Amino acid sequence: MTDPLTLVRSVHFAATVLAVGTVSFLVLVAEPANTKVRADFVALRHQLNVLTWLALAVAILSGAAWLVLLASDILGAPLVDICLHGGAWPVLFETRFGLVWCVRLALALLLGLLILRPVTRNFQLAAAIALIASPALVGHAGATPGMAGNLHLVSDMVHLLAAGAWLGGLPAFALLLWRARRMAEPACLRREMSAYDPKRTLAVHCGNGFDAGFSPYQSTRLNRYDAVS
Amino acid sequence: MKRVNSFVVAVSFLLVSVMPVLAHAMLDHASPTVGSTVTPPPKEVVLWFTQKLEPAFSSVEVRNEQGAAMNAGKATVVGDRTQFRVPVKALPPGSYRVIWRVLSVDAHRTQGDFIFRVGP
Repeated sequence: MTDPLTLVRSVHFAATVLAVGTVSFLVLVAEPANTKVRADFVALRHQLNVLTWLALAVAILSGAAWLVLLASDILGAPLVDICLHGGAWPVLFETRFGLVWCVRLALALLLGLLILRPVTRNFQLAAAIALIASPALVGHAGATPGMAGNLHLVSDMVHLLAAGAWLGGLPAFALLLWRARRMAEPACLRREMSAYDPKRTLAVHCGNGFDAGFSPYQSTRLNRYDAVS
Repeated sequence: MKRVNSFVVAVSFLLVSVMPVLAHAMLDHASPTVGSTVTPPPKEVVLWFTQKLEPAFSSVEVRNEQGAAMNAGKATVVGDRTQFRVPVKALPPGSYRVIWRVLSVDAHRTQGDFIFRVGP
């Protein structure tokens, strides 16, 4: 039987990756390519915002469950006692995990508000990066002292960023492709949609390791062409 | 762009090259040394761990052969959060057990104990 703490952490990381990846895709790929198809893009942006909000809601709820389960484990107390008698407060206020948890909750709430205003895209990206990278501070890397710990921490953060931007952006990318194929496509729309050539993007995704989170979006943005493959 | 990608991949491989990472805070060494006989008696017991600790959820006790507590004050986490220091009372010759329970920054609990002796 799967340990509840492991399950909750898995759900939390998956939801965070999805939220961050969707925001990254919208800000780095979809928004820059939005020139002549505003009517449909508004609908796409709304759908991606809803997806982000749902993912953030799951991340917040699973994060709360993570805190309660961890407090129960640390204090050796039953879950009921933790929930009814405020047993999570010492963990929240007297450990690094608790501090990072508070900051991440604030970042998740902030991100949920920022995506309502497209002009705040730089702040959205900053909040998303901080949200996905910060768990490394309370992982094995964050607990390891010295230079080995610092290197491990950077490595973990890069790994989380790449996973968030790449894996997390795939559902948004799939939604974009689905919308593009359903539409009647005037010439201008064909040009815009060609920026998201799935074969090229997938090849870039598969061909890169750690930098898969960043280079595919950059290359799809810059490499527009007329023909639809 | 190709050069930047190659650079990022190379740095990434360097960062993830094999590094020993211990998932739990284990006792690395202590003063007095584990199993040692010391003269004169120490004024404090210091423990060094392999990972950073959470002070609020970590403790160290020094007990004599009769089980009486010999701590002379509160144990404190110092340095880069891997050292745990506890002052002790005047220790007459005999055997002492150090019992430690710690929580590492990555929220793993570990515990253990060892013995040292104070010589005549």
